[in-house]
Amino acid sequence: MISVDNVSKTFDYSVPKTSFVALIFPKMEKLTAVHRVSLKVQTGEIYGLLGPNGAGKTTLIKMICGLLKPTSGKISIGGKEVYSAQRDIGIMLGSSMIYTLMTGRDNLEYVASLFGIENPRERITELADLLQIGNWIDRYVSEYSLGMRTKLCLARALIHNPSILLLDEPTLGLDPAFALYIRNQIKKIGKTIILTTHYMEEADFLSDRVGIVHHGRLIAEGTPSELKEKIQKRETPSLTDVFIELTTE
Amino acid sequence: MISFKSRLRVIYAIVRKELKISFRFPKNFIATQVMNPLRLLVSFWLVYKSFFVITNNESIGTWSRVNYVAVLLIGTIFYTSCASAFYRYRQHFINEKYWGTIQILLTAPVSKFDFLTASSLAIAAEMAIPSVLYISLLIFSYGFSLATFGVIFIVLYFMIFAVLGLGLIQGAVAIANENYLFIFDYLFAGMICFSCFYYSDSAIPAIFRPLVHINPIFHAVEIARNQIFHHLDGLEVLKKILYLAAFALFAPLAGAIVFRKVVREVGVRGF
Repeated sequence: MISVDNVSKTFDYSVPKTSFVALIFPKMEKLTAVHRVSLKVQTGEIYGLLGPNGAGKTTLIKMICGLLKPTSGKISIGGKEVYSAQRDIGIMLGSSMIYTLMTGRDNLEYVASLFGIENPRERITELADLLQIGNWIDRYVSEYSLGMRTKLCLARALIHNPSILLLDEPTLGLDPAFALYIRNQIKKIGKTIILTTHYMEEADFLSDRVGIVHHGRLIAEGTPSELKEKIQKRETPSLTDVFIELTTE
Repeated sequence: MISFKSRLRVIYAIVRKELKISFRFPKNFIATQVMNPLRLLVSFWLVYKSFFVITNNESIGTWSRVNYVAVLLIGTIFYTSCASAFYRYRQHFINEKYWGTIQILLTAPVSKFDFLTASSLAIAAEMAIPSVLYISLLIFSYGFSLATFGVIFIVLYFMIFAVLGLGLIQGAVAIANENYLFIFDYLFAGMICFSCFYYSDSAIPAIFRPLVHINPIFHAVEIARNQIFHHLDGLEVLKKILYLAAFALFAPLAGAIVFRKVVREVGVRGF
């Protein structure tokens, strides 16, 4: 189980420069990206994290996987501290976390070695077949399209067969047919998953529960049906209607 | 508890990855590694050559018309290795930060110490190309023995590991806040000045000479030069080697501690 308890994250950032003095001595201000968020994700559950751009979704994911330290609050994974649970987590942060100067296979072999997989070749072949990147696996990542990179990132996150997956926009740049294929794979994979997406139909299809984050706060949470019931506008509201209703100012 | 074999496997994987990235464009990489020392050598060779020709002197102290190229070559090998070791981590971490790949390390169950050991080994392996080439050139041109090659090579690598420790502290700052990296540029300028790669320590004003003598890099250069000048006795060489070895051991450890603390407490900023 993933437990996020009253977590906040504040960043110091420099205010855009308007004068020469400010250029050398920038004024620092505080930005609260995540504000007192609490949520629990049960084992085997798929939790969709929705929100407008800059709402704090990725910051929250980065704190859950240990990339960022919360300013306050506590995160635990299966009762353990985040750093002790890293072996159980697979992370996909958009199309980052891959070396473009290496081939797809080199990238996967490298991550497999870091996670202590003794003979990664079989696993790489299995994932290359699953994600249909077999023809590209021995080519340099710099030659990949965005969709191909997304597939490789997904393979990277799955390479050590983790029990928890944190997926930040897992279908970004994929063609509709393959995006549907990936959604079906995610649905039947049987892992604890937190995913962020801007595709509402994806969140609706995949998520057992959905949380909507706005200005760093968790403003709504529930199953897609529960959230839709709260909207009275139409007879059959969609998750898009819920999203617009809750996040439009 | 992670077994020693698993740790070795992780270290090997990181070294392999580092070398694959460096050798992505092999011709350019090798040519740059070979060219860097040469650029400096040519400049200083012209200065000293002009001096000997214009003044018609046979020597300046222990530097003579016969040995000055060898002395400059030693200075060049040590200077370029020192600069590479000092700046390599900084460049490495800045690249990883903007490539969006530093997260791989930070989210994998890998000991930071293993990662740093592996990175240092990869950097040392890359530096072997110019080191071996130029030390071999020295040996063949001046008829030195293989033992001389061994002494210079060992001392050079002690210096590289000592400087890598300082470079690692700089790398940690590069991860956390690039705004303060200039401090390390100033520090490096001072360090170079008091290392006497291209001149004798007698060229430094007496008031600053203690700074030269506490600088382990100066002692590394001195041991290497001793292969030409033979101006140090055995005990003196041994003392210098031990002094250097202590830095080679403790500087990377200090760097690793600072790195771990910065990553945990401050975090990666600017990616």
